[in-house]
Order: sequence, then structure tokens, then C-alpha cells
Amino acid sequence: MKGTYLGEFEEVVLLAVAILSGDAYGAAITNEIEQQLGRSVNLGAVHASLHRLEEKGLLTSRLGGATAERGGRSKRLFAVTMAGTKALDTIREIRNRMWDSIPKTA
Amino acid sequence: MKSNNSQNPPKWPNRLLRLFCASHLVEELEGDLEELYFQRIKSGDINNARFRHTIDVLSMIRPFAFKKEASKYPQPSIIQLSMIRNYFKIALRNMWKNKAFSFVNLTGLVVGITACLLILQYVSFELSFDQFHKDADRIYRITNDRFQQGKLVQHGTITYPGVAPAMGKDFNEIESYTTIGNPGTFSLQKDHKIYEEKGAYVNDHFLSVFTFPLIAGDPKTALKAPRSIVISETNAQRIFHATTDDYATLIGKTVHVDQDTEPYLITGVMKDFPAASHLQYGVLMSYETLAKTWGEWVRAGFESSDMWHYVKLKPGADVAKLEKKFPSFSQRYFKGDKVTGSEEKFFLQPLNKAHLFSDYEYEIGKVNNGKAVWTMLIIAVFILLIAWINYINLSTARSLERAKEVGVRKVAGATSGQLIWQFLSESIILNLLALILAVGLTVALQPVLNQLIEKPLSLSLLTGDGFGGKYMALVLVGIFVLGILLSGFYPAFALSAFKAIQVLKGSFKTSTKGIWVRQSLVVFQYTASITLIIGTFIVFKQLKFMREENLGFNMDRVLVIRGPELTRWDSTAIDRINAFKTELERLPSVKVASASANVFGNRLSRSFNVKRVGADNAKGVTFSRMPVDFAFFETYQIKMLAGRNFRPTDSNNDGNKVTNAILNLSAAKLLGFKDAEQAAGQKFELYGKEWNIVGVVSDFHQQSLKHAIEPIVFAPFYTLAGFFSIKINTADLGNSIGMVKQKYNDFFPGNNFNYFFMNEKFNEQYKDDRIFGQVSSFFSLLAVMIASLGIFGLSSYTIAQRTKEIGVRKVLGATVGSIVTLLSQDFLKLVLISIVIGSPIAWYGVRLWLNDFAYKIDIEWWMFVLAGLLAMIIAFATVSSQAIKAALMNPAKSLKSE
Repeated sequence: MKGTYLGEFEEVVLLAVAILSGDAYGAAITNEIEQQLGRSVNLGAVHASLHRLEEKGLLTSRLGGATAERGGRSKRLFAVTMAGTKALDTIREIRNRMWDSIPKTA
Repeated sequence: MKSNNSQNPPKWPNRLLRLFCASHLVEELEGDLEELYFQRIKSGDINNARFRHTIDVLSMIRPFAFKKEASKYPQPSIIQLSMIRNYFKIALRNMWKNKAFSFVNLTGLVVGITACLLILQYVSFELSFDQFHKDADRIYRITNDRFQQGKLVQHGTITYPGVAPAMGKDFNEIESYTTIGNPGTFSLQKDHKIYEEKGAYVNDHFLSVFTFPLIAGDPKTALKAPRSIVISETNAQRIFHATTDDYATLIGKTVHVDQDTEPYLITGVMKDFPAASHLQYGVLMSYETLAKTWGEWVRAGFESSDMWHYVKLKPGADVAKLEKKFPSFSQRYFKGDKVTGSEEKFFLQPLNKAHLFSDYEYEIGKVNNGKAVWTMLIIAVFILLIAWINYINLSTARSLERAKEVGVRKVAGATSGQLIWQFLSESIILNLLALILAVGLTVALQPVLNQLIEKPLSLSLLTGDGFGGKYMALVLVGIFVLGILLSGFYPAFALSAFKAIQVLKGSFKTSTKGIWVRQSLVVFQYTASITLIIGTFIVFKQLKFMREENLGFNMDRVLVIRGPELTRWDSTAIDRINAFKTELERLPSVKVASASANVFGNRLSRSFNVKRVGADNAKGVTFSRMPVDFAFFETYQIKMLAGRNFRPTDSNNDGNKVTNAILNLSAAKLLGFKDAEQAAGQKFELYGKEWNIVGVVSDFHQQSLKHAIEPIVFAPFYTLAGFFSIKINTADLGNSIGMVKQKYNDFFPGNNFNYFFMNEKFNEQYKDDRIFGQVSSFFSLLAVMIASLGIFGLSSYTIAQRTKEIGVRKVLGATVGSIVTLLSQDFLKLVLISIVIGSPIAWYGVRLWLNDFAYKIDIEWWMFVLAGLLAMIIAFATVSSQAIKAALMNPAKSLKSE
């Protein structure tokens, strides 16, 4: 299944959704990423990743409430699925193992 | 402009977003965009916010945004086998249910496609002429225009023997050339039997310039030696009863040709010339033979214009550049008009124009009118378009009946895509059926058409043997597929667009939206029909005019027999000819008999340097010549305007002693005489001697009315290779021919007796025009018929929609007449528009056609009125039959159904 591989930006988006748990929607995620990474990202790129992650089954979404600052338009709220959590865990494990394998010579 | 509105995000990116974005995503995306925008305004400058907003929108042009929302229900594919089976079933049932309607619809298509296929075969055949030659695009014919005092006196493909050899020497663009001389019908003699066959003398490059393959013999040497002859396969079978295997054994055998006492040696057997070749010969004889029999001048002479030359250029040679060198070439060899009495201009005519686009005098090959061929092609396209338009009109006309079906299908869940597929597949079925029937009909009609137009047409001309080769078939398939789809699309869309609720509720009324489409289609059909009607009408007027125009001579019941070509000329020849004529005149059915070197309808030879004696500025002029005897003018009842007729004593066995001549009026005027009286008794100079003008005859049409009347000089020369014209004064022609034949065989044994009637032979000049008239009128009639089917369909459609209106009108006291008028006038308006559009088109077309004739009818306004009236009557008859039926209906019936 192609869903096992996560690109770098996808990983960042998935993490942002996890951070914002419960209030993760397009604009908020964009802001979160910009703050965390310290660089600007396009809303289109974020949404494209969100769709891809949802297709891979790592995210679910539902339509949420509307707020005044978005002109009364409803937002789509994303949440990390079990599979998504597992994927993040796996990545972290792999990274840790790799960090641990670096010989401590210095 | 900078109000608090400027705080809002720019509008156009949002508009763009809505354009490309799937609708279910628009709301959340716009929400996100707006939220970010206002956040950015708060934290920074507005321009940056606007810029980022735009960038964000542009960044969303990605696949995820285009994707439609997934349906909650399973989506079956649009092509479902069971549904397609159902479409077919419904289509067939529908056709079966409306048998009359389907029949009309199918007939229109079958007739249209058949006509189109037949015409296309003809066009393909005509356009494919001379394409079979290898390097056909590099082969050119030398043409020669001759001018005297700045006036064109001859526009010919015939020219001097020396032209091609000199060009071959002077211009290295020319790869090789071939010369053709003395083409005509030859009498081949073998074992005391005479076989007539068309042939020519050609030089040894003939078989390498052209692609006429030999089955036996060496093409390089076959035509080198004097008295070599190459015969066609047909002749090998006819004369030597050879079979395919033993053609090689014929080489070395001999035949005798015409009067030549020495035998001709067979050096090759060639395949018969293809039908699509402008040159048509059954025998080829070596050019060297002519050098022996006619004289050395045929090799490189510049005095007599008697030969045809074809050159093959080297690959990549520039024709235009080469032609630019011809004026200096002409100056070099002809020195103005010093050599031949006229200024010579030379041109190169591409081989592929020799058959269809050649307007030269002294043509060597089969020539057809390219305009006629294009006209036929246009008619074919018209007919096909009209047939498809009909299909569109008739199918939409039926849409009312199908409306309920569409409604029910939609309620049951059919999408409009599925409905379009359904109706499209119906039109594909009907069109394919029509195509199959049309191909069958084409094959069935083929023999009849071939006989009528005397051409070997077949379907294979469209599948690779004709113009364009295999591409032709591909293009045709493409056209048919496109036509079927296009003609299917409109009805399919019209039908699938019905609103289910309206249809089922019964408040359904077809929109008037589609009306103008159908109306303009009808206008197109009728414009095409009217153009064709007018065209046909004028073609027939011109044909009738040519048949009935006074030619200036009387050719009724004139029997013409060919002279005894195989009898040798000697000092007794003139006496024998005269004795033969006297003997003929003693037959009770023969009124008068005469001899001449040529007869009407053939192109006459010309003399180019005729000068009036005694005039101050004696410039050379050009006359056509016609050697005739003293009885000729009497036989054809040509009027003597001044002077006297020839006497037997004017002729002499020694041609040099003949000095009396008769001119026609045009010739007399060309010499500068005011009228016939003034010319009679005067003198002119020709062939280096002076001639007395003993008489002047009135002008007559020596050739068809396509040609202008020519100045002609008549001299009392005799020849055995000419014609005898015999005026018969009884209706019993068969018996007379028998008696003439007997006398002929007594006087000139060993010759074939060939005869024809002058009027038949003369009118044969109009054969192509007559066939063109017949064929085009037949197909025009078809076009009109199919167009009438269309208007029939459309009127039944509109009238069906207005049944209630008609009922109400009748209840209120309208008469049948007023209702018929009401229903018909809409259509008559359309026809009127068509007349207005079609008339100028037709006028332009027929004027182009008439330009080919030197003597032609005037195009008059009443011709258009008559054709228009005819179209009106046809349209009215078609519509009123339906209108009357509707008007006679009991209003109680149409009104109670509410």
C-alpha cells in the first residue's frame, strides 16, 4: 500500500494537526506550521497535503462550525486517526534508532 | 474607490477559485483564505496580505481541488453492456413503430450516401489521371502560343520537332524528353486482315519518361530502330491470338502499317494503358520511322509545328526559373517571327493538368472539363449535407413522441449523459444501416452509371486505386464518422434536455430555442437545392441552344465515309475519286456526293503566313485550311456570297499548279477586305505563290459552339485519306448505306468501310456537356427530393405542436384555407430567404461554366424566377399536404384531450 510512506511536508502537516488537536483546520494549520518552521507556506500546499493524508487514512475530517472572522463560512476540522498516530510513532522510533546508532566519538 | 471596501480581499482570485474548484470545497477554502487574510492585515501591511491571498489561490490549482465530490451511491459506468443492449432494442422498436417515418429517414440517408459515393468515384477517377507515372510530378508538357501582330493565333500543345531536342541541349534542368508524332488511328495488317488501332510515333525515351511497362522486350531499345513497333496486350491477343505465356514469342514477328510497303518489326509487348491516362495508344512505333517516311526534318526542324513534347525535369529543378529562360530560347531559334511567320512563346504544363485543366488547341489526349468535375464534387458534398440535415430535422421532429420516454427514464435515474448516449447510438444504428444499404445500392447502380458516362468506375477507386490512394479511404471513413456523430449530436442533446417534471406533468411545451437551428438548416438545404435547380436549368438551356443554333451549314442526312487510306495515291487518283462520286450520285437515294480532306467538328490545320497581294502593309495572318472538292458547298448547303464555286478544272494532279481558292467571310475580312464582293477576284500569297480568290462563302461553325468561327481557306486539293460526304434524300438510310458500301468496295478494295452521320458526329462534341447535364440534373433532382423530405419532417413537427391552436381557430370560425395559409407561410418565408441567398451563388457558378463557350445564352432574370417558383411550388406542395390534414381535423378531437 502506498500509504505507508510520508513525505517531509506531509509529516509536518500531520504533526501540526496533532498539535492543534480538536481545532485543526486549514488556516490554523497554516499558521501553526509557519510559526513552527519560521517560514511561509501556501494554503494550497497545506490543503493538498491534508487531502492526501486523508486519502491515506491518516486523517479524518468533519465539517465544523463557522466563525465571524471567516465571513460565516464553516471550516473543515481534521483529526489524526489511529493509523496516523501509529505512523508518527513509527517515524519517531526510526529516527530515534538512527540517532542512537550514531557513534559517540566526539 | 479606496473606501473601507479596500479592507476586503481582492475579488478576482475568489472568482478564479470558483471557476476551477469543485463546488463542495469552495466554502471551506474561501473561509480559510479570508481568515488568513484578515490575520495578515492585523499583523502586517495590507499589500502583503493581498499578495499572499492571490498566491494562496493560485497555489490551489492542483488536482485535489478539481476532484468532484465522491457520490454516496455507486456510480455505474456509462457504457454498460446491458444498457447498450437496451438502447439497441429500444432503437429498433422505435424504428419499427414509426415505419413510415423511419422509411423516410432511411431513404433520405441511403439516397444521399449512394449519390455521394457514386459521384466521389467519378471525381476520384478524374483526379487520378496520369498519377500512375513514376515521377509524375516531374513530367511536363511543352506548350506553344503563337502570336501575330500581338494577337494570339494559336494556343497549342502542338509544336515544332526541334523544340525539345534544343531544350534538352540548352537546359541542364531537363533530365530527358520524349516526342510524339502523327498520333491517330492506324490500320495494322496481318495475313490480309485489317485491325484498326490508335497509336503514335514516339521516340526511344517514351518508355522511360512515362511508366508504361513492357511485358516482353527491352524498354531501352524497343523504340530505337526504324519500323519498330510495340503492341499492347490486347492487340497481341487480337491480332496474334497470343496467350499470357507466349508474348515473348511475338518479338521478331512483323505487321504492316497503313500504306508502308516495308514490314514493321515487333520489338515489345506492353501492358494496356491504364484507363486513367490521357494518352491512349494500343501501338507505339519508333520515331525514327517518321524520319524515313516524312523526312529528316522531324528530327530537329523549326518550320512545321507537328509534334508534341514531354520533358522530365531533374529532381529539385525550378520550373518557374526554367520557364523564364524560354523567351531568350525562342529568340535564339525563331528570331522573332522571322522563321515561322509568328512569334513563339513556350511554357511547361504539369502532366497532372493535361487531362482536366487543359484548354489548348490540338490536344493530343483525352481532355475533360475540370470545372465540371469540381461541380460534381460540390454537388456530392451538398447532397450528403442535405441528407444529414434531414436526419437532424426528422429526428428532432419526432422528439415530441419521445418526450414521455425521456421523462420516465429521468425519473428512473437516467443521467443526461446516458440519454445522450442512447440517442447517439440510435443515430449510429440508423446511419450504419443506411451506409450498408448505400454501398449495396452503389454496387447495383454501378453498371448503369458506367454505361451512361462511359467510364470504368468502381468502389475500388475509393479504397486505394483512385486519387490519393489509401488516404482517400481513410479520409472518407473520417468524414462519415464525423458526419454520423455530428448529425446524431443535435437530436441527442435536444432530447436529453427535456425536463422530467414538465414532461410528466403534461405542461410540456418544446422551447422555441431550437427552432432557429432547424430553420437555418432548412434554409441551407433549400439554398443548395435552388442553386442546383438554377444551374441545371441553365445548363440545359445552353445545350438546347447549341443543338438548335443555325450552324451555317446543313448536316441533315449526310452520310460520311472514310476515304480509302490503304489505296496508294497515283496520277489517276483524282479521276477515280470523281468517278466514285459520279457512281454514287447515280444511286437513286443519293442527292450529291463530295470529297474533302476533313469534316466538321475536327480541328483544322492552319497556315500561318498568308499575305494579301497588293496591300500596302502586307502582314502575315493565319488561316485554317480545308481542302474540298467542287461539290462540297452544295452537299452542306453553304451559301456562296460572291464569286463562283470550284470547277473540276481548278484541281490538278500536280498540287503546285493549283492556284484557285475560296475563302470564308472571316478570312476575307482578316485580309482586309470590306465584304465578299470586294474580295472576289483578288489575290493572296501562301506557300510562296499567288492564289486567286475565286469565291467567298458565308461563315459557319466548323466546330462546336465552344469554339469561335475561324478564318478558313478552301483549296481544291484531293486526298485518299479524307472523307466522302454523301447527301441522302431518302429516309431509308440503312438500305442506302448498304448500296454505298458495295460501290466503295468495288472502287477501293482492301479498305475498311467506315461511316458515320455528320450530325451525330458533330453533336458528339457536346457529349461531355450532355452527360454533365444529365448527371448533374439527376443529382440535383435527388438533392431537391431529399430537401423536400426535410421540410416534410419539419412541417409535421411544427403542425403537431399547433394542433390545439388550430382547434381553437376552427372553433372561432377560421376556414381551412386560412389555416393552410397560416401554416404554410412560415416555410415559404424560409424558401424565399433561400432564393435570395441561392440566386447570386447560382449566377456566379453558371457564369463560370458558360465562359467555356464562345457562343452562349444570356443569363436572364426570368430563369431565376422560374427556378424560385419551382422551389416554392415543391415546398408548398410538401407543407400544404400536412397543413390541409391538420386543418381538416375535427376541433372537438384536438380540444377534448386537455
